[in-house]
Order: sequence, then C-alpha cells, then structure tokens
Amino acid sequence: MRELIWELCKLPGVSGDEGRVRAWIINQIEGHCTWKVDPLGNLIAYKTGRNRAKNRVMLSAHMDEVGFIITDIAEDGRLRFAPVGGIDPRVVLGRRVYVGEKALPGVIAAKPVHQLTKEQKSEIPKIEDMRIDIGADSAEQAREHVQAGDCAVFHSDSTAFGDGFLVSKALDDRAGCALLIDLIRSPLAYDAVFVFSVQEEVGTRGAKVYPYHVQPDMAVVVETTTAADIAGVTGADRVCELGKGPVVSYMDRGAIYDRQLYRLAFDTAAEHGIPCQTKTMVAGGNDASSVHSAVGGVRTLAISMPCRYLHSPSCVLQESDIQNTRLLLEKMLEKMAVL
Amino acid sequence: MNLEMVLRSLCNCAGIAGEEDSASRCACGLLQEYFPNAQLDAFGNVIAVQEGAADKPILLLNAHIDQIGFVVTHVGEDGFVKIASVGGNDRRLMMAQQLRIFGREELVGVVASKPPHLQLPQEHGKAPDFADLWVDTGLSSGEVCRLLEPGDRAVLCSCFEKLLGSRVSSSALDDRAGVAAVLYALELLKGRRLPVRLAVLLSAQEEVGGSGAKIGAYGIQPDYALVADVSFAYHSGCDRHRCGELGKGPMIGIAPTLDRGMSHTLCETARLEGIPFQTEVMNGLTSTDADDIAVCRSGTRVCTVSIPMRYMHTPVECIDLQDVEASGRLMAAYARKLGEGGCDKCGN
Repeated sequence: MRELIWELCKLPGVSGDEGRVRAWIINQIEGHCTWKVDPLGNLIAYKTGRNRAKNRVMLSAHMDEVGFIITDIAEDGRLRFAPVGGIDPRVVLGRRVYVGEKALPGVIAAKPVHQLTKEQKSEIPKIEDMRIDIGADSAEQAREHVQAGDCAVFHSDSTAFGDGFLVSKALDDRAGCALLIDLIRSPLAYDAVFVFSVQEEVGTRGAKVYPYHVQPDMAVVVETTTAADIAGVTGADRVCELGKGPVVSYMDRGAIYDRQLYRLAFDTAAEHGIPCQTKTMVAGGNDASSVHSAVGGVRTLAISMPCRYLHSPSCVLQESDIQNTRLLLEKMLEKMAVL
Repeated sequence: MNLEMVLRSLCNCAGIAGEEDSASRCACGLLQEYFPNAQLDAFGNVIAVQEGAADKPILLLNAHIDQIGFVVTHVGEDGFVKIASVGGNDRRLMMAQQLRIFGREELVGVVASKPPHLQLPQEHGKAPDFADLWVDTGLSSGEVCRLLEPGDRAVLCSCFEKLLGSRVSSSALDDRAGVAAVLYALELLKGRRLPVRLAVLLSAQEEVGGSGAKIGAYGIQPDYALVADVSFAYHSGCDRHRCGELGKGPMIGIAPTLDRGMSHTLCETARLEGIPFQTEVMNGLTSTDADDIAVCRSGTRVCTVSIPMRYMHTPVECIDLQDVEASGRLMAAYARKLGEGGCDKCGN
C-alpha cells in the first residue's frame, strides 16, 4: 500500500490537469473492472462482486491536488502564478516546484531576509507577489520551456518517518485513490462503483456530474481531512487525531451526512474492532457537498483519513489509519449493499 | 574536475554552524587532491598550507564550510520539539517544511503548521517567531527522548537541483559555491610555480559570527587573503543598488575594510584575462569572513570575490555555475599575478 501511495503522490495532477493520474490509475485497475471516463475527466469503474447488490453503492476519491497555474511570464524570465485550490500563503515561499508537462524544476522565493525591514521579516508576501524562478535569464528563454496555463506542483521528499507516519505532497487525496485501487483489485462481496474524480479542490466540480453517470443509491466519499493534533492545540480544536482511525463525519461546511449511515459506520467499526472517530468541529468540505444533492438525492457518508498539514507540500498521514480506513470501507460496502 | 559534480556532493552534505563534520570531511577529501596535508582542526575548520617555499608570501583562499540551520532546544514527550535558528534564517518560509534532524540517528521532521481554521485574525499572513514553532517528529515519547536531545542540529531538506542553463539551486550554496570556487582555482593552479605560497581555510561558524575564520587565520598567518563568499543577485522586487546580477561574473569587493590595492588588481586581472566581473561596493564591514581575517594578528590584506546569489538563506538558493567557474579563474589568475606588480605590496 505504501508503494502505491508514493507512486500516486509523485504524479502531477493539479485540478483540471489530472490526465497523468487518471492514465496511471487506469493502468492499475485494468482487468479488474470495466471503466469509462466522463466528459469532465472523472474515471468511473464498475466492479463486479460475488453477489449482486440491492443498493448501488458508489465510492469516490479525488485525483486532483492543490497546486499552481502559470498566468504569465515576467520580463525577467520568472513566472507569475496563481494558486489552484486553497493554499495557505505561508507554505509557498522557499519551496521547489515542477512546472508543466516536462516537470521543469523551479523555485519560489522572494527578496532575501537580509534586505527586509523588521516588519517585512514577519509578513508573509502575497502569492501574487511571488514568482517561480526556473533559471531563465529572459522572458524569451522562459517561453521556450513554459507557457501561460501550464500547471506547477510542489516538490516533496515523500518518506516514512517517526512511528508509522507518511509525509508527502498530494496525500490529499491520492491516499483515497490508493484505497479505491486496492479495493478494486480485491475480491468483493458485492458489486460496487468506484469513482476517481476531478476538480475537487476548485469547488467539487467533478462531483456535480459523476453521480449523474452512476445514479447511485448511496455514496461514500473517501477523503483526507484536517487534523490539528499538534503541540499547543488542545481539546476540540484538534478536530481529529492521527492514529485513532478513520474519521466519520456527521456534518461539515458542505454537507450534513446521512444519519443512519453515520451510525452504521460506528456500529460496523465496533463490531470489527476498528478504531473510529468523528470530527470535533464543523469544518472543511469535500465531494459530498455536491454528491448528496445530485440526481434527486444520494444518501451520503464521508470516511476520511486524518491528515496533518493538509494542502501543504508536507501532508502527514498515519499508516495505521490508512489500513483501518481500508478495512472499514470494505465492511461498510458489504452492509450498505444490502441495507 | 567536474564543477557541477563537486558542488553537488558538497551541497548534499549537511554542515550546520558548530556541527560542520559531514560537509567538512567531504571538503577535506576533495582538498586533499591538491594538498595531501589538508586536515580538520579542533574547531571544525578545514585547513591546508602548501609545503615548501617558506620565504614566499602566503595567499589564503577562504570560503566558509558551514551553513545556516537550526538547533533543538526542547524535546516534548508528545514527539514535538522546539528549535532555535542557527544563523539568519527566514521565518516567512518555515511552515510545513521538512527538516533533516541529526540526533542519535538522522530523523525527518515536519514544521507543524496550524490549519487556517485555527489561525487567529492577528496570525493571518504573519510568519510566526521561531520560538513559536513546533517540529513534528512523529515519534512516541520514549523514542523521541532516546533519539533527540537539546543541542542536536537540523536543516531544511533541499537537495541540489539543476535549473535551466547553468543555474542550480540548493539550500547549502552559501557557501559551498565558494568552496567549489576555491577548489576550482586550485585545479587551475595545479603543478604551476607561483610567486606565492597557497593556503586554504574552509572556515566553520561564519554564519554565527566568524569564529572559525579568526581561529584558522591565526594559525595560518596569511599575508593576503581572498574570501570567496556569496552576495546578492538582483531579481525584480530587490533593491537594484544592493545587488549584482547572476551570470555576470564574481563581485569584486570594494570597501573601507578591504584592501584597496587588491580590489584594483583583481579588477585589472579580470580585465586582462577576459574574466567577467562586477564590483560590490560596501560602506563598512562586508559581513563575510573577510572582516575577521583582515584584523587577525598583525593584519592581513583582504578582498572579497563574491558569487552572485538569488534567494540567499532559503532552501532554494540559486546561483549560476558560470559565476563559480569565473570566481575560480579569477582567484587563480590573481595568485599567478601577485608579486608581479608593486601595487599590492604597498597596499595602495
């Protein structure tokens, strides 16, 4: 599973530019299901289980990651860019990025600290004032390699660290994609539909259309969600904690989840001895915000892996949470199919 | 000598001020190609003095081997540790950075960042103080206390990366680029008879005040010194009058604290040899090891030969390899020339 996640995280796939991730996933699931790609780029996989399901259950995870889009090439050969998705400006400066199809290395930095006033030293520059430097000496040289509209992704040294933690860019939501791939490649009790979606980070655009293709009775959005279980943060502010299992949401900024499915998830977890938690704050949102009200209404649940430093080049997950989420998803699929 | 390979291997070794071991050993090995007697001193400096020719003046080629980084100040039982800055780090770029931490084993840490929904209005758009940062080691309480203790060093992860053309990026180019320039000068001077006796000092702890240069120069007693450090290269947003430019050659220092004759000769030499150069005019101290070497013992004639750099003191420092090469060529040409004319000897 770890290797699968690393391979997925490595791929560049900023919202609206998920092609390489999709192609890679198709290669992984080919032969284990039938699949199609819808006009927006969602990859929909139909998996046959040992039994026909009473309910059509859909699991989805998004392929896209937060990143950048090149908006212009400045006169000095450096690149103007804008964020794609919600990126805290505090995690942009001093990073390496890869630009465009050819993954051209670039760096994001600003005026050196030595030349700043006391006030400037503690002020994060605005993203619109930052530039990507690819080493070009002039706009002409830069134009040979990059054009406006190219996307850029964070570099990251993806690695395991500490006591079973993983750190990488794009764990949101390639970890979810990895779980779906793994389920598709496993024998399942019932038929199910799996969706690898696009454009989640720019307003869950993919999720507005894939339910139309699938016409599901029930849906589980497989995600990563913000955990703030870090030093100096206590109580409910922590939202959820790594190592305490999958996070089942009752409500977030995008959806109120199906009450019966929410209870079923905790009951199922208890039945199989899977640690499970909920969020102690109404925060965040995901594809469920579009899925639950699509095609006349879909009973929807979100099962997420708690993730520290979400939307940064250093997202952190706990491997035990990934395994436990995998297990809970499999057990939930069995229950939901015949509910 | 493959300059890029040399610089890459120098940059991929860590050498945070006060714990330069890994970088020093790497540089010492490279230096022994030219001076088999090169060695580390007790302070962490790498030192070599050419044998023989005791009557010739000593020309010291200097660059600093240390880099900025962090020191662990507190180890929390929850696996989160506190750090302090070693040298002039930029706190605007710390959130969610990966660190290499050098405890009993090398560890990975992530600078913890509060998610946006927990940020207070006054924190929005602000860079936290180093004292307010926590580093997430992902370790249990027993392990974190076994592996880490206050005093352990850490550095932001950033391997050597090639950009377009001859430009490269790494967190350690200040001043491994200078070290590479010194090595390149030695390569060019290999086997030549010189009017001077060469010495090399790759000094420790430049980033925290220059103690390594003070100690090293005291032992070497040079007559002349060239200090190969880095300086600011212009990009939009910077003050043009405070910057040189990438790819336009080394920046020859002119300052009240530098030897005016040496500055002049370096410019003349560059012109004669067709080496691109720029000047860097300062109005007092240079904030390099030149400041300490100049006033060591009875005094040393000193000048800076700085490699222009963008984004100094970030994990993505950028330089142009052509500038490193030109700096090496200039130092080598100066070493051949020194003693020919009279101007450097009288200092003016």
